[in-house]
Amino acid sequence: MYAIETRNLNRRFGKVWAVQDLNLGVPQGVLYGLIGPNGAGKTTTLRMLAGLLEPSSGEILVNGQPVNHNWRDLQRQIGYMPDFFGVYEDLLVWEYLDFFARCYGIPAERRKRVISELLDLVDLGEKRDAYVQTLSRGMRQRLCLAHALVHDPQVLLLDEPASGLDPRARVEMRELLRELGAMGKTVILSSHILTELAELCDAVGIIEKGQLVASGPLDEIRRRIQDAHTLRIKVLSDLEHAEEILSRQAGVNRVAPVDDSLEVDFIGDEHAAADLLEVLLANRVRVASFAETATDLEEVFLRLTKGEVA
Amino acid sequence: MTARSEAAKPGWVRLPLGVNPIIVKELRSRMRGVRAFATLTGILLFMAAASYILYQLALASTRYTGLPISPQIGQALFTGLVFLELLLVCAVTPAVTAGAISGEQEKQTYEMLMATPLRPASILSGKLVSALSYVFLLVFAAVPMSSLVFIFGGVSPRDMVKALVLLIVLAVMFGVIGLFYSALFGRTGRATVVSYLTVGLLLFGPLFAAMATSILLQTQPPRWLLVPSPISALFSTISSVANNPYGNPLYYVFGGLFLGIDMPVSQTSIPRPLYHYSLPFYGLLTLVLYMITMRLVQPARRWRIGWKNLAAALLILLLFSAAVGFAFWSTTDRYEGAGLFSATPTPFMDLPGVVPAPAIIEPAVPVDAPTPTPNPGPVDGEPVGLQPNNRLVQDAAGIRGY
Repeated sequence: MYAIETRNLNRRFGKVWAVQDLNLGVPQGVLYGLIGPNGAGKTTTLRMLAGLLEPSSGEILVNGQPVNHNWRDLQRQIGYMPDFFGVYEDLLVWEYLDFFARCYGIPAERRKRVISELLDLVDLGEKRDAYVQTLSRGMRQRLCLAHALVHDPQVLLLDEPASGLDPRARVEMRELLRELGAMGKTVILSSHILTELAELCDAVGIIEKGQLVASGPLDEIRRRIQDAHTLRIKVLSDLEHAEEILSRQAGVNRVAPVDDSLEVDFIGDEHAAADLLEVLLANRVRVASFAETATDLEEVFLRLTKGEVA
Repeated sequence: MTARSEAAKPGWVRLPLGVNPIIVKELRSRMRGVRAFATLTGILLFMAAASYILYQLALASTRYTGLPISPQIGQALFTGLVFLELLLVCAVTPAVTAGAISGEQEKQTYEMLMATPLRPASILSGKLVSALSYVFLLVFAAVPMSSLVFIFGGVSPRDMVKALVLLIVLAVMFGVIGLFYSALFGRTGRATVVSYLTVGLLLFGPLFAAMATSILLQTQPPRWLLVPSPISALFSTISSVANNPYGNPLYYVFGGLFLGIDMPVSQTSIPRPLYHYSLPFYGLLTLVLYMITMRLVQPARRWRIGWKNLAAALLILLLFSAAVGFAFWSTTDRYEGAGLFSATPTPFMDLPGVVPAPAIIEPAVPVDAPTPTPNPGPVDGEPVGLQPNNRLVQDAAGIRGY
């Protein structure tokens, strides 16, 4: 059973489709990373999952239960950490957590225990009686994470948990997330930095212009990314003819004429590339050069997500 | 899962603690440190200084008239203090409420609250209660000092209670106005400015309108024009006290504008004091604005109002009008029916000889004659009892004699 599942989820702001036909399935206990450039619809997706935004159409299932009138109840199974951190002036760290614990209606004696446990978990134990506004950015981020945990949710939605953190704080955040994963929680986090998620997640989904481009276990995605090539083919004969042949081949995502050559985005290993060349030759296309251009992982990722927004 | 089974009950009684978390949070941050206490002390010192000046003023003016009477000093002091408190309520309430909703949105904590099971309605009520508790603290802290006037006399505890009740109703109304704009605009700056403008318009708009009509049309302005103004309403609650022109601060500030409020006592009825109309008006405005604000604070489906909510709103408004109607009906024999339903026959019922002819009463109470000070007078709403007409005559005679 999926902890979080969406079926044809859509969200439109005016004429802009922020999220389009999103089908997401995150199994329980998995650290799932949502990658995409800014404006791809990551935050919109997470806000819909947190019940803060109504989908234009489509369905969300939390632990197998469809979200509709009961979304207030289902919110109790979800902890949400927004990509910004709201500070209440004049509140102490423990009061901040106490406030959110009260919002979830946790009784007094349990509240006290939960707060000290959480402060230990996020390593803010000695900051218990400090004012929230005096915390550093990394500490605030961890406190914000702690606030999403006061009701011991099964599912955590973290929007850009590592953004704006220095390397040290980033490492601390990563360790914290690993710990949560070890506790058996399902974590969905978003980022626009691929490497950030690669070290952390069990599975990733790549989102681009509101659509899920690729989704699956990290190894599979990594393989797909490694298999993605951009070929530059110099053709001496009719360029349009070659373009037409190439675009019909399996694994070819995009063919674009550049000067007197063709740039081809292609997914497949070296054998598949060789097959491609063979097809061209068999069709009497005169090929002067056949070479791979981009090998950089980041660049390939951007290609995969068409790179139109980034 | 445990948290869910513990407190998943939907509806109003969802929180097992009974204490709205917003109230706890707000009070924690507002009452922390010296700020709250310094403010309170400052305001009390200011009121003390103002009372001293008022006392000197009253003393000085009674010296000229040759009437250095203690009750008149007490009344002047009381009137001044009550209106200072009105000023305080008008100044403080919008300031503490106009940022209540928009502040959460600006600090980007509203989303975090929305992600919890805390309902928008609880956020709204928590904000209102915590803001008002601060305003009430300021108002009630001044009560012991205002009680100094009892040393001078001329003011009954009843006068003070009536003024306090009106001030509290006004504080609630101003608080809801602040919350309404806060939720409507989502910007604290704009909400604050518009809240103060609205409060100012309520305070002075009717007075200027009344003044303009009386100047332009050369007539007595219609009485209903003054109903929305808290100044007129507050004046009418203490009119038995405040009509004393000796050293009365209102006469310095507002001239004779308030004298138009008291209607003449006619043969068949005693007019209700203005606040009888103002209070229902404020109550209605407060209720309606609060209900609109409850929709405004919803993150989604703002205007998709279910028929259940609509029915609840209608029921509340119906209950409110029923309560107002009952209050009017149960006091009708003191006012509208003072002449009609009394045991003593009235001139209106064509029984000449039983009471003095109406001619005696008619000219006796000019429109802008001040009510005699030691007598609360008929406009005060004091039970007239079985013989209202005798009372009328007495009052009329009293005024004539004066």
